[in-house]
Amino acid sequence: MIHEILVCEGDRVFGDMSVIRELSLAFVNLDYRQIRELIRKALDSGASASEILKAMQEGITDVGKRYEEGEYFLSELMAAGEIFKAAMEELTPHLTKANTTSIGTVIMGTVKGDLHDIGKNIFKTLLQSAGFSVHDLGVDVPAEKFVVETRKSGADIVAMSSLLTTTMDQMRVVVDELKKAGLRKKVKIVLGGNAITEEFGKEIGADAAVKDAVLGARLCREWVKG
Amino acid sequence: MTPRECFKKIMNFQKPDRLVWMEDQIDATTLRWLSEGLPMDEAVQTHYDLMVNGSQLIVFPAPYTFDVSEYFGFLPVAAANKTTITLDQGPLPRYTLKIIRETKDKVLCRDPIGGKMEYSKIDYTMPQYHEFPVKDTRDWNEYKKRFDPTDRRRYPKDYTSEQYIELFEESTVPTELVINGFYGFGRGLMGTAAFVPAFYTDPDLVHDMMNTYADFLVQLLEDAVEALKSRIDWVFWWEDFAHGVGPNISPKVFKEFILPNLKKVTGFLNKNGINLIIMDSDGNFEVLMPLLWEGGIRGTWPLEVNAGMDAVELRKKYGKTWRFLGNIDKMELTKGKEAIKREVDRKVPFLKKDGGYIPGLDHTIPPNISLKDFTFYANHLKALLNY
Repeated sequence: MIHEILVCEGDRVFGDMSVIRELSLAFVNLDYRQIRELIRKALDSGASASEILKAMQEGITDVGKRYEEGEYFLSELMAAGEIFKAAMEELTPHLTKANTTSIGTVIMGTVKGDLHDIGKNIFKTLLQSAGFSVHDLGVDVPAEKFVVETRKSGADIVAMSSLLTTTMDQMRVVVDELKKAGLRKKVKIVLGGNAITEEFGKEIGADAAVKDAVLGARLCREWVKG
Repeated sequence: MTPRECFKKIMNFQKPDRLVWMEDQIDATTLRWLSEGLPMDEAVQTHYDLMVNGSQLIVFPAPYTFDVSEYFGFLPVAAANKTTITLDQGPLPRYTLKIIRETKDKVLCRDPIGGKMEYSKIDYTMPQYHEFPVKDTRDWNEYKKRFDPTDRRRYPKDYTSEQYIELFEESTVPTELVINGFYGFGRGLMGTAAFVPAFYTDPDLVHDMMNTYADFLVQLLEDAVEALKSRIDWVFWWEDFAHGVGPNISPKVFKEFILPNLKKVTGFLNKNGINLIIMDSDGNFEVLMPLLWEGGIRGTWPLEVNAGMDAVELRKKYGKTWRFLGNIDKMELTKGKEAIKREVDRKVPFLKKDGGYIPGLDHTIPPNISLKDFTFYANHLKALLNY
């Protein structure tokens, strides 16, 4: 099986290492079957929930890096997302509010007329694993809802997705409505989806247009760092 | 030359007297064009058949949709299903479409695959899938009982080998066998969100699905393929396994789960003289092309430009090996005459020189393309293709 092959590859051989390191490597090796056990092992060994969360974040960041370098693909990225979700299920009861301080707030949704959400959901997992608080508005989201939720949440970033060429103009409507509501200068706007291009992003006044969830998440981290 | 003769020449990197053309459109586009002057009698075509699926013994004209090749006067690649070998590769018995909830503009229903989907009553967007029939091994073990390759309902009701041979021997249009591919199978039953990570989260389940499906396909295809052999001019292999920047599955996953099964099916086709297997996938899967070639795939459509697929560059890289269909950027057709000419002129003259290329847009004609712009594109293309 694939994860066994990966575990045996050169620098990823499990050896005499701490359980925290082992946990981080489980992400890189995409070892879904072991992850819950590793979280429990780490907790039993006395590791704090925040140490464990940090190891998970390092693991998923490494997966993202390998994706950007062309070593991993969507299958690996999505598998890492599932591993993160399983790990969080184990870890959440042990997390306190202090462990989960948000690094920023993102409002996201697929624009009106479009029902695709795979890319948006990957982006959401990557943002959550990076420590963002994410308000996912779902699919087929009208411009007014983006505006209302941006105001309500005090979001730092608005992220919109459109796979279809026929719905990408809805992104322009959202940008215009944010301007009218006086919110445009308070947020960064990132566009995602198969149909969009950098040129289109510039034309409608977005801050960035990316085809790739990993790149989008990296940009968001840079934006909140300032 | 007939469209079939031209098609064969092109696919063998030889010179036809004219190039065939491959386009497809959706109803929303046809509706727009009707409002822009497309004559109604061109949009609604008819064919003749027994009424109510043969329950009334009277031959009656039945309408079908607009044929873009016929209207613009091109040699077609396919002719309204008459030259497509239709073998049912879906679950049998089929699930009946059952409405669960209906509002003014949306319908939530159980779909024919057994999942739940929601579609719009007011436009023509793709449905949103809420649920898929296979979530785990237990579901799959139950579901796979619906994939009995020996179920005779999978073949057309009037099927006999003799009738088939006659029909396909006389055809002037290429005869096509449509196959639902391996990724397409898994995605159809589990949905992308569950299927793509399952190569890691539940590899045993995915192995069983892929292996079972390969055996199912070979057994199902046996009668038609062994009767028709090389009268089948090409196989249209549907996958759709890539997105804007890369394939949904890695080469490692492809090698382990799909390649051996792909070889099993294409090996069976090759043994029967069927070698031209063209894969349909959106997105950018360039990194998988060497493995696809190893698996017996010999060409691809639609080569989405926005995803970075460029038939000119791929021809330079691969020479006279891969056959390419499509790759004319549909977005350029919304930018006026100069943009259309630039896009067509950059690709078509170069690609037609060596053969192995059938022009067309890089997917279905979307409704944001006007009839006027498309007509300009079609006329410009015709001039380049010896019409």
